[in-house]
Amino acid sequence: MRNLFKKKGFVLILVTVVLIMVIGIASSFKSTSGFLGSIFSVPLTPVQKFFTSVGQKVDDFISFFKDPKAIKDENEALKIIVAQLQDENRELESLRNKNEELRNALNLKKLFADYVIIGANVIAKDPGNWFDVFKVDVGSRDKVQINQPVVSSATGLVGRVLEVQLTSSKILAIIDEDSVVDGWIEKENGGSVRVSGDLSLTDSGLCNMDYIPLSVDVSVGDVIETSGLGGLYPKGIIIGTVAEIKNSDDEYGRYAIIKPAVDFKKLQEVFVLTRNEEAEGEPGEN
Amino acid sequence: MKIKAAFYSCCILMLIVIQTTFPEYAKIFGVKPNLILVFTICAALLDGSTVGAIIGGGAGLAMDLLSGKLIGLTALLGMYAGVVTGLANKRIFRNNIFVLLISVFATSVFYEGLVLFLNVFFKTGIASLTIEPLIGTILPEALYNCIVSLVIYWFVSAVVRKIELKTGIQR
Repeated sequence: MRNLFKKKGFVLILVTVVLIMVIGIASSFKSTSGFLGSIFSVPLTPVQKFFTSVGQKVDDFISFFKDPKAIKDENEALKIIVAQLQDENRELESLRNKNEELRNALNLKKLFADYVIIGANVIAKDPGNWFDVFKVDVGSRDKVQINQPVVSSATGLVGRVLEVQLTSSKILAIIDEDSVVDGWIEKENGGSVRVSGDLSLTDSGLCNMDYIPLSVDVSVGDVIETSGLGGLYPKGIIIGTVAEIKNSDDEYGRYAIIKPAVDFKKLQEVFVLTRNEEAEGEPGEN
Repeated sequence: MKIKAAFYSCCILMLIVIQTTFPEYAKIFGVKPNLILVFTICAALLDGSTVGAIIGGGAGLAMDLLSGKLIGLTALLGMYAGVVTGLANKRIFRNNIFVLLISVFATSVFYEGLVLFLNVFFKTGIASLTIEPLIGTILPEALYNCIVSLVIYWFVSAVVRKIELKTGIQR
């Protein structure tokens, strides 16, 4: 038996079998890496945070010097816009109070009254080029749980929590090919659709929309929101807009390419929505 | 040997952090290199298939636990990348830069091809496999890996040589 373990070929086969079993178990139970992942994740999270923030600063610095002519042109254009905006600003000042009221009706908290909003920073991205899973700096100690919806500050849908570790969580972006969201075409006579990630679109930051009802007149620029069906995402979060409509061979005859409301390449801050159990339990309390 | 193991471990940790926080501006054609795979190949060419397998498997597992989606897949592919490249070390590699580049290119294409194949094949079937990911992602990544490998190999081989001279171990 001892000699057997000394043979490299045997060890290789043994490790291969073990890893295949691990893959099988991991694909069945999504949370298996939670504890083991925390062993690596907890000490590495601050280091990853540091590198991400340094990377962003360098990125800002480089983009500043990338194209001086474009910056000069942009500056000229901005000067004109500033003058226009100053005029508009005076006009808008009078509408400020009214705007405040409308904002109250539409702001993040109002929209997600049943949810507690947890702010999080993106600290790491998927190591490969195929998927769109990224890591944020809130975890189980912040009461983040699997499948909770994640939005951006502009109330655009980012995705959902895929896995939770002690101090960090993995977020599955809506452009990842494993992501499926029940959507709703926000227009008169709108209909329910399916928005899903697509391997060939992930890199361009786009996703697919199919199951478009034949009765719905969908056109480029239509806004797609979450439908609230399935219970995973609350109703009314903007997923994106229709960028292109294409023909397909299935019974629906067409599908669409969606440009998400969120720019995943520049995403730095997100908000995890956790259900406000206290508010649900005690309706009188806020 | 202990110093070398410590050096390899530090390199892996450092590369994992860089890989998972890889900045947008350093991407070429929207693609980032696979630093861990490149490091595995360099170590396997320098130290053989056993070291290559341990580094590829170990670093792959750490990556799976940290940021990956399917635990064990990167570990399995990384381990075999180390084993296969290590065999080249035994037979043909004599510090030849072309062997390094060919190894990195071929392993990158096979590795990423397998990741794509396993994911697409098991989810949507062979019919949905297209040529686009090969041209758009796999080939640019393999080329990027080749460029990065020159730097990583130069650094790793220089440090390993110093360690071996100091400890009196000759390959």
